[in-house]
Amino acid sequence: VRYLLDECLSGIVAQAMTVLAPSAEFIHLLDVAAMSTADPDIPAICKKGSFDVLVSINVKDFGARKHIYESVISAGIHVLVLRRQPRQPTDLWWQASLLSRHYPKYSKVFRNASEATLASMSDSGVRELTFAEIMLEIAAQESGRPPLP
Amino acid sequence: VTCAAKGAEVVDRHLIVLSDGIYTVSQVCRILGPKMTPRRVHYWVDTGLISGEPITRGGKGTPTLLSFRQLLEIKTVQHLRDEIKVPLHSVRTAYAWILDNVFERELPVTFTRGVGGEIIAETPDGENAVIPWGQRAIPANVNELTDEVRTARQAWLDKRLQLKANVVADARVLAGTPTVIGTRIETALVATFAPGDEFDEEVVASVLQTYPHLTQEAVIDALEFEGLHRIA
Repeated sequence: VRYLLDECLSGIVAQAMTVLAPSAEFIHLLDVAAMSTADPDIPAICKKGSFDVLVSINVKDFGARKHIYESVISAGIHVLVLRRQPRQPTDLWWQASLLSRHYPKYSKVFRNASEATLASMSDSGVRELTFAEIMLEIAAQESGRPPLP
Repeated sequence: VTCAAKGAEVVDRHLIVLSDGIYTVSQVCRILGPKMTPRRVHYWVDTGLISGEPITRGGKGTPTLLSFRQLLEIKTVQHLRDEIKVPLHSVRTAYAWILDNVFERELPVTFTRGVGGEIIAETPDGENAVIPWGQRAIPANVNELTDEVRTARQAWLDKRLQLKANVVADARVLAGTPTVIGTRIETALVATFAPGDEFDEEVVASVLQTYPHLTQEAVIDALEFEGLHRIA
């Protein structure tokens, strides 16, 4: 499985994951495209590089961001979104920790998926979600209500 | 793939909105500063002051989404209301003139103050017009309006709004969310490195450790754009 890490993830994490999960390939976007790549070019870059999964981070405004993920999924590529707990810095260590710790879980999700899918990953684990589910979950978090079961 | 049929033409909705920028109302308020509130944005959109329909109208689990053009329009109307003090009942006609000439005809317009206090708009082809302003005494510096409208026009042509020296909202990058210039790293992501409302050298160093291709100045600009204060 080939994972493409969006520019919002550290290039150092891609190098670390190559060692930590040698059965997969983790490539950073800056290794295959220029800085500040436009959103409409991302699906084509994934296709051209035979990437199976786009890895991204979402900290704010998922409602706007989801359209990028939808376009990638509609091109047949899985999306893995890292999500943080409140006040959690999204630094190098957090990114590397999440990707390495949950590797068995998300790799299984994508291996078993019959079609391109969206998976959300946080400290508590990996979940395969629909866009509607993740939007409701974020709305619940922002309003202070407990997360949906 | 979700497609929307428009007559005989089938349009891939994703590709259109991706290059046009996509903004939630809260994001518009974050970009335009503390004077802009969700209530104002919704009012201007709902009453038709801002042109076009939102990308989506808000509902359960669905936020109201606006385009890059609508962000620029809201920014211009905000300037007319808050800085030039155009009354609400007059802003519609004044803004309609700017919309038609600046956004549609893409003319570089210069505003000057007339002898009677009115605002005169000059276009390069000599089509001077007195903008219906609703009042004859203009309290603000009209040059600021020229600068504001030119900024909006240039941002419209470039599809990119400069927010700070190293922070931009590029309609084609991360759906137009504010990012560090020349990257796909959003300022909100950089702000998570600071534990509270302040940041110091240690926070900047942590960001640079994670993203070595950024400059120190760019990181500081991103943190300050997110409202964080620098401490020694």
